Amino acid sequence: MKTVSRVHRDKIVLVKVRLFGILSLLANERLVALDMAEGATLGDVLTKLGGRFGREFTDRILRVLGEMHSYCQVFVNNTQVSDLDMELKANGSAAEVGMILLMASDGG
Amino acid sequence: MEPQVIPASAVRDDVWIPSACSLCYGTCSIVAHRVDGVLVKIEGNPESAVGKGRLCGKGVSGLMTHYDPNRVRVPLRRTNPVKGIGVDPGWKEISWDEALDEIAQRLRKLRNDDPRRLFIQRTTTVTSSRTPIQVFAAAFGTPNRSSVGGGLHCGNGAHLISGLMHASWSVVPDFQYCNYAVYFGASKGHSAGHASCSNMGLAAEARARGMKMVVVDPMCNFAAAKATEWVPIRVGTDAALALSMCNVMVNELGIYDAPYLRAKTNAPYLIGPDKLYVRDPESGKPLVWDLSLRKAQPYDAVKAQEMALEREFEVNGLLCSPAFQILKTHLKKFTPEWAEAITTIPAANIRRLGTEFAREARVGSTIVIDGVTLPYRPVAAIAFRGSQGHMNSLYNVLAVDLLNQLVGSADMAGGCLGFNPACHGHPETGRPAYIPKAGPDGMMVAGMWLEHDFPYPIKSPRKPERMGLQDLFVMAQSSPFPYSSDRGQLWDTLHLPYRPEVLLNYGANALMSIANKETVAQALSQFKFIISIDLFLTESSDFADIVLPDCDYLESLDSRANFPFLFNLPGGMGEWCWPIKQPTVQPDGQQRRSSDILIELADRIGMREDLNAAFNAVLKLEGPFRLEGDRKYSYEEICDADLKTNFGPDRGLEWFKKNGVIKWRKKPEEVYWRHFVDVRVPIYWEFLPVLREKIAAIAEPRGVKIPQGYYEPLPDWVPCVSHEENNPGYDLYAFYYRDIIHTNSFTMENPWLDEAARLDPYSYTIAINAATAHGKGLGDGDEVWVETHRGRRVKGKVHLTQAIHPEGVGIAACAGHWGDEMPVAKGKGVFFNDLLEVDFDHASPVNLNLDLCVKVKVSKAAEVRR
Repeated sequence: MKTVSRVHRDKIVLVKVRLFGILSLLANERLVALDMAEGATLGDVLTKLGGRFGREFTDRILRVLGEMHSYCQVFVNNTQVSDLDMELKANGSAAEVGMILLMASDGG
Repeated sequence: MEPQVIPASAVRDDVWIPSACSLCYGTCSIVAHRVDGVLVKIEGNPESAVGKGRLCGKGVSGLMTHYDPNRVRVPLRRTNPVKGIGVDPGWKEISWDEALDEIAQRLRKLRNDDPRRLFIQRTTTVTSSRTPIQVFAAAFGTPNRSSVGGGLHCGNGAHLISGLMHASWSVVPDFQYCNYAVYFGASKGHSAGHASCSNMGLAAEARARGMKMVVVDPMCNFAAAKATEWVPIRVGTDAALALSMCNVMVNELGIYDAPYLRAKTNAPYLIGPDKLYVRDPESGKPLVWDLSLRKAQPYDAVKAQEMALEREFEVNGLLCSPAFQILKTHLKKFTPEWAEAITTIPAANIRRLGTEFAREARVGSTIVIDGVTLPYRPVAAIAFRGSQGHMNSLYNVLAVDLLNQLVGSADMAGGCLGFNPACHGHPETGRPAYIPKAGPDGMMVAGMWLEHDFPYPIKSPRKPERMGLQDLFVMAQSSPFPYSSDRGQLWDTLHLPYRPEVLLNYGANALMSIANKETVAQALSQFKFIISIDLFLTESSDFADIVLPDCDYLESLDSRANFPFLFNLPGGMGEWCWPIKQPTVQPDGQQRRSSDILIELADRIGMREDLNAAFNAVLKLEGPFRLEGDRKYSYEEICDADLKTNFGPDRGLEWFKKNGVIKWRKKPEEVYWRHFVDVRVPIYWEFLPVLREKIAAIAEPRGVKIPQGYYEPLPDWVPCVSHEENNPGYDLYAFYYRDIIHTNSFTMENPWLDEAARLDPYSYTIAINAATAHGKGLGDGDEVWVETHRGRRVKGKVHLTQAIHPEGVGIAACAGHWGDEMPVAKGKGVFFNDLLEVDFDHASPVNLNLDLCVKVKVSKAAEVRR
């Protein structure tokens, strides 16, 4: 994950993260509002979520550092993304991020 | 059984309604003829590429299942707290509200405690059940799902290798252009299953055109009966034959597609003495030997034609060789003479088969299809349920696919095709579009999968959190451990942090489909609460606390009858086709659609927003068609959104209800995508030894041994448990096959299909070689016991035939119903699965495939004393 190279300390992007399924239950929250520096990436958001909810939370999302599990579905402003280096931009007043795990499989 | 009176309808109509069959997972497209509110006929839909207007005997018999008076039509609650095989549940009728209230209350509490305690299982027969159940599980937060016996027995080997090597769920010959197809325990185009009716037509045309079909199978069954040559093989020894054929090709004839191997596989990757890739110290990328520069370079820095495939090189002080060189050396021990002893196939035949396959492959040739010049390799080696139903399934199926990889016929014209691994999308919308891409180490990642847990990249094992332990044994999709005799011990040993409490069952009959019923019954009895959504009260329904009456396929709706395309849309050139399933009649009782039940439950549990998010993620709904927040949507609205997302605002549910299907032509660049896409597949599974170390690091300190022999990077011959048993008198190998007349245990209640099966000499009998039987003093029609040395036994009538290997005992699955609520099915056929053990010792330690062959003795029923 690339780090934010230029931090505009006076420019903040509000990121609203909506957690679903097991993630919501683990975090015990549905909506997490984060103040992120402008230019922050999806990876930065995950780092912050990990700091708040712990390793168990991020282990469910990240396959290895810098890459999500294929069953982790993330939507930024209603568009599915998988690139953790994606810069988050507000859609209106906030950047909207949705996260859900589709981790079970039943074969067949 | 009282004759059912179908009430006169006030409606006067005479319509043909396009929809989709669900008598097997093939889901062929149908048109249902309704006259005055009553279904009178079902035929294939000629407008659809799925079936192309053809429909098998099961499909046309769907009327009899639909109008069966024994269907469940009201919600039921058990009053007898005791659960057991043959124990009367004491059903009483309850209202839907009462049923859903109780279920929701229990699930809400469970979700708040630990959502992992919910285990969801479903029948594979209803393909479209996958999506709603996948969505519900994700919203609820449980990782525990199972496709029961239909999934467990079917694909931990076959689907895994098809996914890793062909970016698809299964493989099929390119019927239009293939000249030589070798089937290993497969019947594509000759029975039910993936794209069955379409494939039957394609296979027939291929045979008429002159395609030679060689069927390797212990029984001369549906495919072999139409084949050019039947090769009887000892059960479960497919890897030995396939590896020997590979040896003949590579080492005796020197025939293989070197350019393909260089460009499309990891054959040129350098392997060190530790069996691992030799990697570039800076980038970590696997190295290859550049013949022109005479040095090792990262694989993506060298033109394919400059990559060495053979010899030994020194790199950074280490001696290493390309993976192909190691494979070539590895293959030398698999001589036809060696393989004869294992397979019982004469060495001369093995050598001939390998020679024929190599020569028919026409390595180096090309063909022009629709104006596009393509590599032409008209041979295909196909493995499926028969060869994969063993502990050694991974090597069996991998060895078979190695035949395709060596001659470069994988996803090439005339060769072995994955079912639709690449799609450029509808010309007007560009959807659904997907294509394989290069992943870690340049190895292929599928563009689409049935689940979101892709077969590659290989996941890191961890201490298990799933009941089936698939997060430890990461190569496994299905698992026997939710049902196994040692599940408790395994969960304790591996510290599973919870125990399952509630089972939600959709249409599956686990008691008949997994293994011996006593073990499965114990597993079912341990659930505190079981909800079962059923068409009929099956043997497994007897263990439920609440049964909910299900709508059948003629009463149901689904926007994804045949999507993902890599499951049951015909492969090869032709048409893309997206059909739907829609109701053709209203239910005649209180039945509800399972999709509606799950949506209602989600509401009552309080997870509507999670459900909407899961639908958005699974269906990839976009733009104005995304489900919003916690708004309530009907399943009609969700299907409408799915269709409009893919095909535009003018082609929603109403358009599809009227038109049935949407079609557009396939392009050679889609069908033969491998020629156009820069991806590689592993003929050397470098990740396996590494994976074993990681799994062993977790499992072995806790006393669970992980044998090295299953984790070597090249396929090998590994015997099943049955191959190593030498108990005197137990001299035959019993196996089951999927009958073409029936679908698992489901259709035996259908009187038309039952009648056909009773007319067939095999469906309800035990097939045994005539000479073998005479040697045991058995005559045709004798009642016999088939018994394992552990004392498991089944009884039935033998049918003597020359069309089975002398050591084989073949039984059509899954017959042998004993329940009272399916009176047509009761007492018919032989319950093969009662012979099967289900525990760690009978499961593959790499992909958890259950061992489905057993060593048995066969004796006249009158002679056996207990």
